[in-house]
Amino acid sequence: MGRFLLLVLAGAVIGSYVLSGSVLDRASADAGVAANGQNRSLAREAAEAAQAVVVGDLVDPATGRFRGALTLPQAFQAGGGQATVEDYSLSADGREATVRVAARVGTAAHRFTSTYRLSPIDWLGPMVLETPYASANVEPGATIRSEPASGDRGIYVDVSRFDDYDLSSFLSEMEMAQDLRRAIPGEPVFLLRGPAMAAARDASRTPTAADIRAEAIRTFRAGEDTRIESDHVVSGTERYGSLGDFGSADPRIVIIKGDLRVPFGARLEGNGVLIVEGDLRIQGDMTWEGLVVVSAPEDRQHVEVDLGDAELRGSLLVDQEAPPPGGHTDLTVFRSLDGTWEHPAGDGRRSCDPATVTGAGCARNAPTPSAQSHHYEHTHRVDNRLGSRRFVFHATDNVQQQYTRFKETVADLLALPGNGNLEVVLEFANPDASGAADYALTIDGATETGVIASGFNVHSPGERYVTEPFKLRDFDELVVDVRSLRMLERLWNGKTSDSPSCDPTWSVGPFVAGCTINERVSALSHMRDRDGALTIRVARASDRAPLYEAALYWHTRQDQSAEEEAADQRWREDIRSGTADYGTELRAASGADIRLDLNQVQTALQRIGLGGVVVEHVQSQGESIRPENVRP
Amino acid sequence: MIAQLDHLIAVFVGAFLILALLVVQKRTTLTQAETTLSQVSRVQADAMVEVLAQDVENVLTPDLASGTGFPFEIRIDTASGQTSSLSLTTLVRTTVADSATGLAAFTPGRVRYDLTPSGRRIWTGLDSADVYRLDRSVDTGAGFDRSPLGEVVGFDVAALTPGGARRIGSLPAVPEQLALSLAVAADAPTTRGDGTRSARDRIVRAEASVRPANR
Repeated sequence: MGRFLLLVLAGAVIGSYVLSGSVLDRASADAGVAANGQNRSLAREAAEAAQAVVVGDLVDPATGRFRGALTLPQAFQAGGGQATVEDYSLSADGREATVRVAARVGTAAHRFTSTYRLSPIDWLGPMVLETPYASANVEPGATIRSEPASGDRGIYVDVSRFDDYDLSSFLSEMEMAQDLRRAIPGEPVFLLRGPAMAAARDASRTPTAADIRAEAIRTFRAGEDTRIESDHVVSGTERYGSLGDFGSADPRIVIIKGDLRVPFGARLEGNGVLIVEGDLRIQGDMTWEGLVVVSAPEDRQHVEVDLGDAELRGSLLVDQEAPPPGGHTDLTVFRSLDGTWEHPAGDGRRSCDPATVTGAGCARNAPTPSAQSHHYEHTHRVDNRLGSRRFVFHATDNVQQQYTRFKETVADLLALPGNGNLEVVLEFANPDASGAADYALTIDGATETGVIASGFNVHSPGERYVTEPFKLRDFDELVVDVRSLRMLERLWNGKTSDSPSCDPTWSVGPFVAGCTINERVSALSHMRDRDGALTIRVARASDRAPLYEAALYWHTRQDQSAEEEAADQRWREDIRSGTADYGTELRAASGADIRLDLNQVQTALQRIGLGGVVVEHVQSQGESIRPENVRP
Repeated sequence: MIAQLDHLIAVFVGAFLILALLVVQKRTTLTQAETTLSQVSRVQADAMVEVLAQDVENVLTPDLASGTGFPFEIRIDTASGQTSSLSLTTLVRTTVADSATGLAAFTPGRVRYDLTPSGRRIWTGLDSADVYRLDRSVDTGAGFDRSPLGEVVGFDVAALTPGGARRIGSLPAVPEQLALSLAVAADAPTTRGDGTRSARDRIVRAEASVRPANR
């Protein structure tokens, strides 16, 4: 009986074991099925992440074209899965890329097969004129047109300046439109202003001439590109880069800081961006592929664009300000050599004797805020005195030292104990009011050029308008060339300031409640943001404490308003009577062939880093696949 | 006497153990049946949601679907709250993956999912549920070809806006994201003799969140 009992017990144990094992197996299999479903979702997400990584690698930024081969490794981690680029191929013309990428997560895999296309850019038309007034004389036979034509493309004239200068009292916008349409009968002419023009630009991704010029200066490559600092007359044949279609051209930047003339018998040809800062007169041969930008100096009242028999594949842009007379540039300098700035005015006037605090320039310590006039140096109508709006901040002797006091400041700073190796940064504050200024900065013999609105080419990480730190004693020169008085901050006496540092508590004396400022220079001394004026600042690198500030702004003084009003009236009368030529005069001979060519525009934009390339998703196809079907 | 008592105890213990074993076996058999059903439901639900997810993932925009027809349309049965139909134009897989290349062929086509009541109710463990038939109809140019995808107790397709709101009806554009949910259940097994049903919830849900590749 005992044996029988043992047998029954053994049977019970074995039976239980087998049954529980079977249940565990079932449960395990059930969990496995559920996990597989989750893995499929994760694999899909991983494949999406891998697809995004691949898209970022499709275009070679140097050429703006799809790469011949991806730089990514064939297998990489993405979105928590193991991604594999299974295939990558280009269409015959190189404009479409198809990529197949798969990702594995556990027992699941997902694949995307996607096609992308380099989106052709759009553009307003063969000519874009930003000018207060334009007239045209185009001989029959000349070709000016968009290829391919579309209802939205044509000759665009931004007439915002026509409005800004109040020209309608003596010039007719309708006559301007009729004149242009009569001269260029084959192409629509659009006159747009303000938001409508901005919307048209946005829709066609057409930057302004100023933007193109700024980027051309920023991306200028010494030794490869060309910059001529004066008027230029082409002799013989001048060739810049090489002509060619999408991908085969060798685009260059050519900047002429004055008039450009191609006389009879001479030839100019090239590809890229040609910037002419004056009149353009083509009497000989010219073939240009890309962008031609005529960007006249602000005070040029009449700009001549004579295309002769030129051949242009791309687009012509003209930027002419030609504003009425009025106002001038003021330069106000502040400094605080120890960087404490107990008062926004800093150390006070240059002529103040800090030992006695009694000199004529010691108003910094005057009992009332209104009497505290305390800039370090101020120059009224500095551009009139200089004969230009080119400001030089120089570490050694320079005629402009008397205005900027820069050399003096550098010397004073370096003379302070422990400042021999002082590291500083240079900053552009309020760059929105830059006056469309260019700059050239030389430190330790190395020069970089650019446009203030775009910031420094070599800048502190994440701060476009701040240089990298450098030793003050290595500073050589900063030249700021203001191209547009009207694009400086306009600060005139009597203006109500919207600056957050315009504080009514100091609104006494020359100031009135609400911060209407009647004494501009004194007001700037109170305002840490210099009332929005473009400010060139030297700051200590270690703590960014400003040491020197020079504010540049468009100023009008009340006692000069009558004089300026008379000048404005003379200006209007001269234009009305025809005594003075005004605006942009466009001419083309019968052999001229000006055609919008999107490929050439795109090549030129790519050269100056304005993109022009958009990767457009054509189609994708996703599928859940077996992991063993992932093909390396 | 001692020997007889010993035998008696052995018989008693043995009988008890055999009885216990029978109970365990019965329970185990029921559990096994439940697990098998659950597993079958899981596989079925996963397979269905995978087909649905692929159709939704490859949905074509109006531009891409030109000639084959858009819209993307979701209909809801207000009584049951279920998605009653889903119509879309997508890339339809027409072949299985090639063994050599691992690639399948796809072609643009219109796909429609229809949910229709089967008239049956099943015991799902805690409650009973209506059973629906989910059909998938495909038209790649020769008219709709309808085939059953399976039986479900729940079908929900939610087109979500970037803010998370649901959109139904005929949509003017491909949604940013879709949440797909399918619920499958098998009738609860009963033990032979006493007709006992398990109280375990037998509804299996398969869900997927899909961002259309061509949105």
